[in-house]
Parts: sequence; structure tokens; C-alpha cells
Amino acid sequence: MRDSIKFTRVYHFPIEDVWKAISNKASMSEWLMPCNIEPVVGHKFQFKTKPFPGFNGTIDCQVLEVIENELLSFSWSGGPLKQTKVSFRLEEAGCKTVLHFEHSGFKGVLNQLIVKKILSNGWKTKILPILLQKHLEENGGRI
Amino acid sequence: MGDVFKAIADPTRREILLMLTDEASSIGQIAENFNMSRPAIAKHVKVLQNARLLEIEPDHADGRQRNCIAQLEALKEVEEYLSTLEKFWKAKFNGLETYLSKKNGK
Repeated sequence: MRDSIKFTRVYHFPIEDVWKAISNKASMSEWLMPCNIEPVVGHKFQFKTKPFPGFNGTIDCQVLEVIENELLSFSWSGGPLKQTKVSFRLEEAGCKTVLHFEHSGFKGVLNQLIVKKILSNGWKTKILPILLQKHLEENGGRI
Repeated sequence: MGDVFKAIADPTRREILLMLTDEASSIGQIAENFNMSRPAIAKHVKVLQNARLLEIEPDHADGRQRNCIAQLEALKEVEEYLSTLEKFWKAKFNGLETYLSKKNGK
């Protein structure tokens, strides 16, 4: 079962253009969401979007990794998600740029989904709560 | 949706939920099992109930006793949240191509 959102996109633009789009405050604010990102490790910033019930519209982030024209990652805490990680990795392919996107760190949430999945499969014996207990002890407590 | 996340974020509430998936129990029985006071357990039960993760119903044999029953369908919301998040990111990254075209004049 996946514990992250992952996909790849190809852009018909040089790597410098794509890097600027994903690391510059004005660019990010335009195509993604209003934010005050700076490509500096440790920089704390926020995305601001429309609030809705259960979500105040603010996502708190901190830059984790910066390698110019190659890698940008930051933490992402907002709504129900606490300390998840977003990363953009760029790769040059001729005059095109391949972008690998990943949003990870849903493990704690997924533990709960596993519980539900097993239960919905009707695999409900006496042994189940014991196995689940063990699983949660090993992987839980980090939501 | 936020309620479900908040409810399952607490380890004691996760354990209560696990206990209840095995067997429906009264607040008194849960309190005994966890070695906690009834009011403390009642508070946790209330949070789980508000998140629709459990329901409280009268016992079949003894109508005066009220049982907490695990209701795990609400966890679906977590799954739905992640799939909405995935759609959000994909839409944004499809839009990035348009943004780059506009910015770099192609």
C-alpha cells in the first residue's frame, strides 16, 4: 500500500526555467498558491489558500533540501497533515525537463487505513486485535 | 474530516477503537480495561463519537447498559482526503506547463 503521492511530468522547457518556477516566490505564488518561499535550507514559509471547515487555509512549511536546478524539498503541515514532506526533483532530458514529484509521510494515517482494510475484508478473528496492536506499537504514535 | 484525524491522532483513542472492534463494551468496561477513570474514558468516547468512529447503543440483553460500538466507515474520509490531495497536485503540475509557456513565450 502506498504511503506517498508520486508522479512524473515532462516540461518542454530548459531546466533553469523549471527551477525558477518551483523555487521563486512570485512564480510559485502564481502557478501553485500564494506563498513566501525562499530556496534557502531552514527557511520557514507558508502557503495561503481558501479556508474551509476543518482547515484554516494555511500550510506551514520549512525548506529541507536545496540543490540548484536539481532538488527542492520542504516540510508540509496543514489541515490534517502534520510534518509530511514535499519534494521536486529535476532531471535534464535534452531541451526538456523531467520533474519527479513526491508528497510523502502519510505512514501514520495509512496505519489506520490498513486497520480499516483488514476489518472490511472480514478477517476478524481473536488474533486480529493482537496483530494490529503490535503493528500500531511498531509504527503508530507518529501521526 | 478534521475530526477523524484528530480522533485517531491520540494513542489511547486508537487503542479504545481497537478494543471496540473486537467487542462492543460499556464505558465502565473500557475504563476497567485501561485503568482510567470513567470521566476520562467518557471524554475519549465523546471525541470518537463526534468523529462518527463509534456509536452508542443499548445492550441487547440488558437495556440499562449502553455499549460503544466501533464504526470504522468514517476512516474512509482519510482515504478520500489523500485522493483529493493527489488530484490537487496533478492539476497544479498540469497547469505549470501553461505557466511556463506564458512566462517564457512559447
